[in-house]
Amino acid sequence: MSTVAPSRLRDGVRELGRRRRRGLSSGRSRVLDAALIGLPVAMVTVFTIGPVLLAVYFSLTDWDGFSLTSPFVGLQNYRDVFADASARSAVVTTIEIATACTVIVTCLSLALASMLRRPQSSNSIYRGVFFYPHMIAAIAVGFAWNALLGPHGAINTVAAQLGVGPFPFLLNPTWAVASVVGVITWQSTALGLVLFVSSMQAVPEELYESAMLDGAGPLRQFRWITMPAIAGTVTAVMVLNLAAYLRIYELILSMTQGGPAGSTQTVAYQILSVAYVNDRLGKGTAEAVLLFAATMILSLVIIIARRKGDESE
Amino acid sequence: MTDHRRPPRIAALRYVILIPLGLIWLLPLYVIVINAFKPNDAILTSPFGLSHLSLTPILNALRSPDFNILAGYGVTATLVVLVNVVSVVVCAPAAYVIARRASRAKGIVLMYLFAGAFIPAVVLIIPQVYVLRSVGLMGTIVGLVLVLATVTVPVSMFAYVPFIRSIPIDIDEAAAIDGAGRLRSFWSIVFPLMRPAVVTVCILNTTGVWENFIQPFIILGPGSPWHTVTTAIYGAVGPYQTDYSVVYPNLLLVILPLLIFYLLLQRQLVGGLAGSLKG
Repeated sequence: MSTVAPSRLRDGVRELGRRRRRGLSSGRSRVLDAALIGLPVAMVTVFTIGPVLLAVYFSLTDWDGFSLTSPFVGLQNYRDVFADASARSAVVTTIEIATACTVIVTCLSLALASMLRRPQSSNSIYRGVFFYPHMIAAIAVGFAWNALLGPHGAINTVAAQLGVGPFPFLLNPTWAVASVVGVITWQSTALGLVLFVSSMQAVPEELYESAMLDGAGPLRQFRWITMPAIAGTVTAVMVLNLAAYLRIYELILSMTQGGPAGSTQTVAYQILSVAYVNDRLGKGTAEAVLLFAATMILSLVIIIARRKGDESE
Repeated sequence: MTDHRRPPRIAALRYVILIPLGLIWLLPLYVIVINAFKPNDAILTSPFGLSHLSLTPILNALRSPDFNILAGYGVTATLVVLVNVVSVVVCAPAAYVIARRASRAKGIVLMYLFAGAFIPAVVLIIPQVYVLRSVGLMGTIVGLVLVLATVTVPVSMFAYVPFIRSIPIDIDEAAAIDGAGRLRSFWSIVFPLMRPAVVTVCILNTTGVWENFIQPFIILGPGSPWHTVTTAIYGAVGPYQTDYSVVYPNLLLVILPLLIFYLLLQRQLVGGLAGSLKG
C-alpha cells in the first residue's frame, strides 16, 4: 500500500508537467522531436525492416544480387528449396539441433540454477565456471572444440594413450550432430543459468524453509515453489535460446564446415556458405524468409504452450 | 549458510554432479591456455601435459603478418567505440522524446523500433549487402558501424524509455525555465542521470560487437584490409586447423580480452542480461 501513494503523486506531478510542456511547445521543438525520433526510425527502416521486405521481394524474383528489376518468378525459389534434398536435410538438421538443445539446455540450466541459486561464494565460483563460455565468440568456440574433438585432437590423443577410442566425434554423421549439440549445450547453458538464478533469488527463502518443515523434499520444492515463480523467465529463455539455435552458423563454419557429408549443414550455414558464396541469391533469400517464418512460428508455439501449461495448474 | 539444514546425502549428490560437470566445462579453457605455450609435437603427444612450455608459439601469433589478432583488437575496439557512440547519440535523445511525451503515435514508433529484435542477422545480411552497395557503403567501416548500431536500437530503447520515465519531470522543467534549449537540457541534465542504463546497454553492445562475426565477415568482405578479432581468427586458423601450434595461441588471444572484461564487470553484465529480459 505504501508504495501506491508516492507513485500516484509522481504521476500527478508528471501530468502537471506534461500539460505545462504542451502549452510551451512551439513548432520548432516539434520539428526537433520529429528529427530526434526520426534518426533511429530511419536506421531501423534502412537496415532492418527494409531488408526484411527486400528479402521477401527478392525471394520471388530470379535475383542476380544487383538490380531491383530482376524477372519475377513467383514461388519458384521456394519450390526449388523444397525440391532440393540438401536444403531439406539442412531443415531437418536445424530442427533436430534446435529441439535437442532447447530441451537439454533448459533442463540443465534449471538444474544448475536450483543448485547454485543461494548467494554463497562457492556458488558464485561455480556460476563463473558455467558462465564463461558465454563470453567466447561462437567462431572461436568452434575452432576450440574442433581441436579437442578432431581425429588427432586432445581427447582422442589421450583416449589412445589410455587404450580406448578413437571416437569419430567429427567423422561420423550421427556423432557429428551429437557433438554440435554438446558444444552448443556447453556454450549456451550460461544464459539460462544466470537468468534463472536471478529470478530464483527473488523468491522469499521462507517459502523453502516452511516447505522443508512440512517435509517437502528438493524435487517437490522445485515443482511447487521454484517453477511457478520463474515460469515467465523459463518461457523467455526457451524462446531466446530457440531463436539462437535456429540461426546457428559460426559454430558450424569453424567446427565441422557442415560435414561430414553435409550432415551438420544448418539452414543458416546453407544460406551464407552455399547460396551466398555461389550466387544462388534467390534461393538463399527464400531460405532466409522461411527461416524467419519458422523462428516466429516456433517462438509463438512455445509461448502458447507454456501459457496453456501455466493455466492448467 | 542454510547448508547445515540440508540432508547430507543431498549435499553429497550436489558435489557428485557439480564437480565433474564443472571440470568438463573448464576443460576447453585449460587445453587452450596450456597448449598456447607448446610446440606442435608436444601438443600432439601430450595435449594435457605441462612439459615443453615455451613462449615461441604465442610470440609467433603476436608477430604474425597475416590476420594478426592484435591488429584485430584495434579494429574491433574501434568498432566497439564507434557503435556505442552512434548508438547512444541516436537512441538516448529519441528515447527521451518518446518517454517525455507519451502519445499513441509514439507507442507505435516504439513498437516499430522493437520489431527488429526478433530478426536473425542471417535473414537480413543479403539484402543489407544490396542496400549498402546501393549507397556506396559496402566494404566500409562506416557501413558496418551503421548496421551494427542499428542492431543496438531495440535493446537501447527497451532500457532507456522506462528509465527516463522514472526520472522526475521537474528536473527538465527546471532546466527549461533556466532557458536551456531542449537538446542542451537533455545532454547536460537528464543524460547524466541515465548513466546506469547507458552503462548497462554499452556493456551488452560491447560483448555483442566483440563476438560478432557475420556482419564484419560479409560487409567488410574477404579482400578487406580490415579484420576484426573474429574475422582474423577465421583467417588465421581456418586454413591451418591441423597445426595446433597456430590454433591454440590465436584462440587464447581471441578469448582473453572478453574473459577479462567479464571478470571485471560480471555484476553489471549479469544484471544487464537479467534486466534486458524483463517485460
